[in-house]
Amino acid sequence: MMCTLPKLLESLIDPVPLIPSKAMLATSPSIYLARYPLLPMTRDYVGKRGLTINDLSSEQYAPVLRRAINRVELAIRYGFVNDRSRETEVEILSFPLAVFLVACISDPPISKRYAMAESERCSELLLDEPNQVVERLAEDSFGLKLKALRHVLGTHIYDFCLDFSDYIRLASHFSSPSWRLVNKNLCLGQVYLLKTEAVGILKLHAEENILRAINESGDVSSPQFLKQHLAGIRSIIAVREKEEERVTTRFSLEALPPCIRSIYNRLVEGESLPHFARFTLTSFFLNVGLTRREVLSLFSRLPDFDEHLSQYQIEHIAGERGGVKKYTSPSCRTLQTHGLCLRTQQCLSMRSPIKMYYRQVRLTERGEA
Amino acid sequence: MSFIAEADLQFARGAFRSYYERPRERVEIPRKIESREFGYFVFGENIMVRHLSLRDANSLGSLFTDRVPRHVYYSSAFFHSPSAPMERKGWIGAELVFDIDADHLPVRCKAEHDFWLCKNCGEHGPKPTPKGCPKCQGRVEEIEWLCELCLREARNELLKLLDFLELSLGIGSKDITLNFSGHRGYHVHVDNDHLNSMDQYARKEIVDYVTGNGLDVSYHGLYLSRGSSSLIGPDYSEPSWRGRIARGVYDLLGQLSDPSYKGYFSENLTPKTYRRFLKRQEVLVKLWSSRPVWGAASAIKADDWIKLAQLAVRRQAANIDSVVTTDVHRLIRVINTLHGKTGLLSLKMGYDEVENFDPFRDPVVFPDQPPVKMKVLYCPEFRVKEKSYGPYHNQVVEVPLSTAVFMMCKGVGTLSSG
Repeated sequence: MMCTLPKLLESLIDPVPLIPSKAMLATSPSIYLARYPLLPMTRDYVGKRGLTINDLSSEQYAPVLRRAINRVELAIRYGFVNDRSRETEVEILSFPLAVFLVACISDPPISKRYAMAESERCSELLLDEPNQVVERLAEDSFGLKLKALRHVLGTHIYDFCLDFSDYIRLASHFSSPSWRLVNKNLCLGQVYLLKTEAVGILKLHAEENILRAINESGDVSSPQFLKQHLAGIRSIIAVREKEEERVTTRFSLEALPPCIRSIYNRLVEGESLPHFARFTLTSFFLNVGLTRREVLSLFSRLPDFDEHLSQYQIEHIAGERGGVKKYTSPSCRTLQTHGLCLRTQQCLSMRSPIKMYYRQVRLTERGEA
Repeated sequence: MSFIAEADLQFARGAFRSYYERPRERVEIPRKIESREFGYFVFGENIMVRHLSLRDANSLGSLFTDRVPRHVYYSSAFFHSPSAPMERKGWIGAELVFDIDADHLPVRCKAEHDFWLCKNCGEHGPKPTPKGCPKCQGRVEEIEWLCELCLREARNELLKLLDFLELSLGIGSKDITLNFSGHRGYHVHVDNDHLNSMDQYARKEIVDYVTGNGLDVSYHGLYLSRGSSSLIGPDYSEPSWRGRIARGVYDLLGQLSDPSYKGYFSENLTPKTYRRFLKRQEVLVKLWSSRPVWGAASAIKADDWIKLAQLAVRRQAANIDSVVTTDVHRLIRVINTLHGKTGLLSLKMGYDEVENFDPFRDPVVFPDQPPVKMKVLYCPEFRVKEKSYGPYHNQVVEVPLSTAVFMMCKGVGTLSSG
């Protein structure tokens, strides 16, 4: 099946009518198209170009092809796609092509990884946007009625609120206790959210939409000019799989990033840890290959250890309860928000403790070799 | 629960029939009646007739006049085909329903007033219920009694629930219908097109919110500050659970030395924690009188405060029957119909009527006249309107009609020919 770009992109986007805000248009609108390819206005933009996949084989579109391959490779290698929204044209056109490439690879874990990486990119950018822009993007991209505000409660400043029934529906994908309605500030039907929480919800939406678009593409046959590039991507996948197998079979305490090490040390000393610290540690260890039993034995050091409860929570985070997803470990940005980040020279420009950990493991192995 | 004699059944049925003579004026007609499933029990049969579809208020009226039902229920859900088997009904949505039942409340009096009764000799006793009467081997039956204390507790839970619905969930009174169940509790119906589409998961989240299930006080502003290790906590005026926790702790501090709460605190706090608070109660109540002073009194540890806050959560929570709220296919009693276990009306009430609602007076619909002579096997003391009756044990008494129907429906008294 040959898919044209606009058609592919169309399947990515909820059919929400777009009314671009004046503020967005007053600045550079195309930069938003490049940053957030799920926007309906991006679909319109690509649609007007009337391009097909085969058109992209021409030299004129070589940068688009290069960037699309780059997007997929970054996602596979690092779980993150960088932002190059200043090159708007390339950025806008390369996204649906990258989705097409992932559909051609037809490997569910890779599709998931790509969707997560792209949504991670969107969420990092959203965190830097003014709240009003986030509000607008939420509505335009997902029809979500997030309201931007400033609400101070205790030591927290809430940036958004959302109708509770919408909130329950969206937060049902998260199993951490902090997402439960009972643990939210709920007043007159509105759930108050920190910016990181609101963006977390949008990120999940983006991930689901991208994944749906990849899956709905069906069996796509790759055109001749992409065959060589797809082979290249497949070889990266093979290398990564071998690497992961090697890394996860050897858990290294020495490779722990400073933030995780600090929480781990507090745990070893028997200090009662706040919830978010427990969540961070659990999701981190589960994601670097420790078994549930191994994580449980770590938590048995806590003074308020409750085996049944801990087991339940670990299973939740591992995605084995509640029919929800396995949790990734919080990013550096989220840890900063919760005061758990201990950024050091060693961290360089890392965006998540997991990536930092794998980097350290690799460096150590190279050193040993 | 059964009537003692066929004559009692026919008598009660006659009373119900006279009440239902003009059903459309008396019974609350459910919204979107054509999309609801109906079910009912008739007198003398223990099998519910259900999967009924009624197209309008007239059809519902005919059900009352033709069948004279003992209990009538309707679905909180809206269906495409209400009379089809469950899997083919086609669920559209469902009202958000809450049931507050004294049976689910931890009231101490329950053990005292629920009893078993021998339908032959009138022998009775507290639970557990024996298989047969120890005196005459006659048939024994468990009787659930109504008591003022239970129903007062149920009303308090209702008030707490309404507070959650209005202030936290932002549900306006125009979307809420309240009624007495006609027996031992209260029902709350929220009918709002936006909320009606919520699935079971969403309803469970709401249940957990109002019951405080899974609540972690650290997410509601109560935690140890990093660095100084001082306890930070919420203020009385804060919204949501935060304010409830602060106000709840203040209430508990005031009750620490009250002898009637001693057992409660002993059950729910460790002896050490309880002693630490009790010793400093006077100072703490004074300190907390204008605003919460979390972490006051250095001898009281942060963990003690957190335990007290957790106890406050349980006290501030609304005690509802979670199964009813999460069941999106539930049948529930039609509002303003008679309850077959009491002859009391499942009376609809306004928001402003809750505080002064009297379940032993307001839902009594049968007249006092004519008086009825009855033989009562056994019943504890009870009240109908302003008058108290009982306790009776194998006595013949003459009581107003409303009281007689109540005792017959409860299965404790039978018509006396003498």
